[in-house]
Amino acid sequence: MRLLDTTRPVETPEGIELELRVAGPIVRALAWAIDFCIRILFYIVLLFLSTQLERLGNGLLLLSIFVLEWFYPVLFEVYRQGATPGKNALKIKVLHESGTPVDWSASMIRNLLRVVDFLPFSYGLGLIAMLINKDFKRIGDLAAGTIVVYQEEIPCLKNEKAWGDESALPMPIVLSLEEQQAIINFADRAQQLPPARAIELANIVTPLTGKTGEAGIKSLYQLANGLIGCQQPLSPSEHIALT
Amino acid sequence: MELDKIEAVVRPRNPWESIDLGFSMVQRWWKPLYKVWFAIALPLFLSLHLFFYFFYESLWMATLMIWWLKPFLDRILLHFFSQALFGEHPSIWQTLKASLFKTRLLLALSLGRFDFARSFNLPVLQLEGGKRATERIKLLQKNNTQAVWLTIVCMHFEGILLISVIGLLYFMMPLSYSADFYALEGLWLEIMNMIFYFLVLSIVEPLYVAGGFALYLNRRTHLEAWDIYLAFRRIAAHSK
Repeated sequence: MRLLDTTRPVETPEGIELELRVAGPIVRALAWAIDFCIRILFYIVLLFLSTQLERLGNGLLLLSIFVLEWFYPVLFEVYRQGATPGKNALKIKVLHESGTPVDWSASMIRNLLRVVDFLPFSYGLGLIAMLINKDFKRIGDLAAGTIVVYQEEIPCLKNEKAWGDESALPMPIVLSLEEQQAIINFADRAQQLPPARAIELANIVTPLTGKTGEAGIKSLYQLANGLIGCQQPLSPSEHIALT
Repeated sequence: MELDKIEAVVRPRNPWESIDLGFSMVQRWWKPLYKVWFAIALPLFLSLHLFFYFFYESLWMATLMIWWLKPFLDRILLHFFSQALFGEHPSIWQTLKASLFKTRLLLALSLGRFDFARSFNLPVLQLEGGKRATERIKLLQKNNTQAVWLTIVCMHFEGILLISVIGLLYFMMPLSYSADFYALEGLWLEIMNMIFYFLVLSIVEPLYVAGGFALYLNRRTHLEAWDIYLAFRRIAAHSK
């Protein structure tokens, strides 16, 4: 059986395999709560304004509640990269199942069907649907073919400087992409790990590096530098000479 | 613990994402999970209610007891998840034994009952145990607001589902009866509410425990670089 994960593989027309990281009920409920609070605040302000206009104000208030309840999520999803303020605060967004940004029709469908998700009371049906569905889709998502995912985090490798100020070394044997990634990850995270743990990890790959302890970590830095194509850091004088 | 046998993808996740992984665990193992759950929770539920009904003539006290005994039920669920994640399915007797003893149950039923990061601390107490548990919790829990939010949201989920079930029943009732629904009193209404509460508990509690467990796993993955450990083991295996 496939290892358990919450990602959903998607193939783009260019033949690139992407992994969408699907967002579950807890974050989505919190995002909804934030949006709800924003709307409530808005209504309170409107209520104060509308009392100045007496009966006309009443009508305007009801109209604005209608518009906001139905179009608040749609407008944000279409014009703000699939994220309402609540979703944005929790770093999630809405996409088509294919990984493309949501368009008007999909967003309208998924938000109009909130009424169904809301049944029988306060999103009971929607919650059950999300708990059963593998991609945590509520009924609106199923109908519109949309999916709620985490916004991408841009990995910030400190590329300007070689790790541990070491020179680059070529890889002695052929490693799979995933294994190369692990070596880069190690170099990136070794500083934050407890020192004993870093040594322990480096010792596992002694067959590859041929070294143990601190020297093992050092040579892993060198291999990682080789993988990302980072040369030995230039000394200041060399730097000036080059520029 | 043999990390190589883990049946989930090990990667450092954002905390919310790790809660979702917990929810996926429930989705994948719901069959064996509910077998264990109902084998232990259902007799407990029935016996408590019968006891309180015959000796105190009150049912809500029994429901309160079930609520109060949640930490015990959590331990059963956590034991199940911690075994299932590594491909093992323990018997009901083993599960019961593992969740009753040496898991600081008494503390959890008194002071710990109101701990909002309960689901996250439970794996430390139950699976790691030992005298240094409090220290470990402090270390692991740093900046972990998600565990508290998990508790708050799950409380709301319980409420939503409970109201939904009752609302659904009300919607389904023919109009001529619905007027009587409000007037409905006494034992039947109480029994119905109890059963609904137990059903909702059976849905939300596994999610809550799995979510907390996954948060814990994720924290350790970050701190101890489990993903790198696993990849390095593979590298070592074929570079010999």
